[in-house]
Amino acid sequence: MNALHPLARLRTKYVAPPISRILIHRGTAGDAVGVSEYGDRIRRILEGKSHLVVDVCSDGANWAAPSATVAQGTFMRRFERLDLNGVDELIECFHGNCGDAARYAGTGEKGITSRMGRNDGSLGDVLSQGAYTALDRVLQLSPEEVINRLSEIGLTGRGGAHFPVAQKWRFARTHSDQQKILVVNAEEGEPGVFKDRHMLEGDPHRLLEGVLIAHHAVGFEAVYIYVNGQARQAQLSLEKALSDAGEAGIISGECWDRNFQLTINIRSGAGGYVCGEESVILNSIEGKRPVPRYKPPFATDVGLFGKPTVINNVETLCAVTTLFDNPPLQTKLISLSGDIPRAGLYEVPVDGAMTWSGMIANAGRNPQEIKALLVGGPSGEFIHFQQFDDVLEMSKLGAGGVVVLNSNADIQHITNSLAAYNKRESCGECTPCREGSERLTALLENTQGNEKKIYELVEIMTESSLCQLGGMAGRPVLSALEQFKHEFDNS
Amino acid sequence: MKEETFDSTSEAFREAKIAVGKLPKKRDQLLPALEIFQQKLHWLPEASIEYVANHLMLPLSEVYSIATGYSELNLLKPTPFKWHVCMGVACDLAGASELITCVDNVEQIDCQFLCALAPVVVDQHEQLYGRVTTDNFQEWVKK
Repeated sequence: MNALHPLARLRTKYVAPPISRILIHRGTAGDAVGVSEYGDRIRRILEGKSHLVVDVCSDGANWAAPSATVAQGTFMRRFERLDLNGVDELIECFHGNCGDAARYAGTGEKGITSRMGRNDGSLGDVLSQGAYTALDRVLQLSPEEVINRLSEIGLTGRGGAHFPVAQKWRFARTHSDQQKILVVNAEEGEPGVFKDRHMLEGDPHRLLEGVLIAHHAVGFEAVYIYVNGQARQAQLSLEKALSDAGEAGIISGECWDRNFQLTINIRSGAGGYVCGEESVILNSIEGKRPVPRYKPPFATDVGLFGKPTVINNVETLCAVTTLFDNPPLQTKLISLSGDIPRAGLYEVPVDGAMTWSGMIANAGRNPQEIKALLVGGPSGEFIHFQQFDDVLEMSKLGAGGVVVLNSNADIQHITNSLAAYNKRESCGECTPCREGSERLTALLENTQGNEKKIYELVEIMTESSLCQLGGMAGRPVLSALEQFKHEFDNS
Repeated sequence: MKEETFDSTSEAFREAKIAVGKLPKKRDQLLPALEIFQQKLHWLPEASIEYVANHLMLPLSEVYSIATGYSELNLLKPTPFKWHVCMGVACDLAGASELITCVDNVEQIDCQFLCALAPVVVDQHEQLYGRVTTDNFQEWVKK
């Protein structure tokens, strides 16, 4: 046996000595605004040093794209909107002339986005930035100690339902059936949410580390990572990470001098908002129609292939890797879009320190110019400007999709298009959602005099739909009618 | 359903058949099998459904029932080269409807999850483009 500690051994083998580099922020976001063109230009200018120009994923600051970051040790400076500002200043900075403004302004100073957009996707790069250190510590603990730790820090699911992770894991761990399965929900089909894609594109090893921590705590025989069919780049990054980690013996356990006895499968979804629903994912992986299952039994009892199954969101498992942070990390990923200068992915504190106003101001807009926020898309609600001083709470953020609406935004139009979306995406399995979503869009055509009917219909859909697509479809509608009734009065 | 013209001797079809043939003969390989054909051919002609049914030893009707359940699986041959304009809330707010009216022959598409770079359009290779203006969109469509 090698005398070195497993993690030290891994680092010795894979981590290259630090060098100054220029990070070109590609990924889906960078590519959509043609960042490669600027990458090529920088490589041409640097000629003999072009190997120091590396492609990385978006760092979450989509508003800055096309962008690149000069990284020299811990010093980082991002150069934004290269299409408007050119690359001269960046080249100067790389040659050591960075001026005063030397502070990196990425979204993830620490937390689960800390490596996003700062690594080139190689195992060595993420290991040098702290990947797999939490797993290394977890392996020194008993499974029960790991679950207790998660319980202590109060980690909850980040997919929208906020179920305590420790409770879910403990239930699975103590289940009498020995063959348990972990399903990772990377479907992310909610319009307006793009966090899990960014995580997978930018730091897929964090998810794998979370998966292995879950495996140590619960003991799974197989893992299925169900990735949204449209998120091709995310899937490619994940596949590469899985292959690299596999070769290094991280997945088999070999490099930790253990035998994990675990298979990790990546499955691609094939469309539909309803495919993000937990039981639909199970049906989909089994090769069945994408419709929800009746509950109970719950997945933790009878899940994938009839076995007890834990279903966790990508962000949840990524957050698990912070379990030793002190104080515990209390952040949520927010996908911010709409009428806001700095739209993109944010990791915001939800420990009571941040308000809606603060978040809007951080992203470059005076909150007083904003009429409302749409939080949670087609199953979400509108936040009226009068509530902007409320602090951000995990339980009110859903999956974290926030669209900023200025005073010109037409709330009625948005409400109708959300209702139409729910109607199109209803899988048709249960009557309340199939017929209800159809009736709801019809009633919204003319709300005057129909308000009582709308409330009654929404109540039926909420109470009796098979899954939350129908169950939450009325939420944005009621929220709009309650807070912006005057906008509907003229219809 | 009327079957569109389909060349069963094409290289793409042959490759897809080989890839599907390598999948384990298990029910849970149904979606992966259909996805292989979808990716190679961009739609699922009857011959592909039959091939999957035979390989996985499932009734044809069963495979059809799954194929019709997922929005990204096409049972009809897609119309050649069409631009799509994202109609998610952020894109809508950023003027997606102007992109639709400024050119001919484009289709609307649901949220493409690039909301922070709205408005967004998609080309036939599923490449996304962000912060699109009517000027550059008109130029791309003309090409």
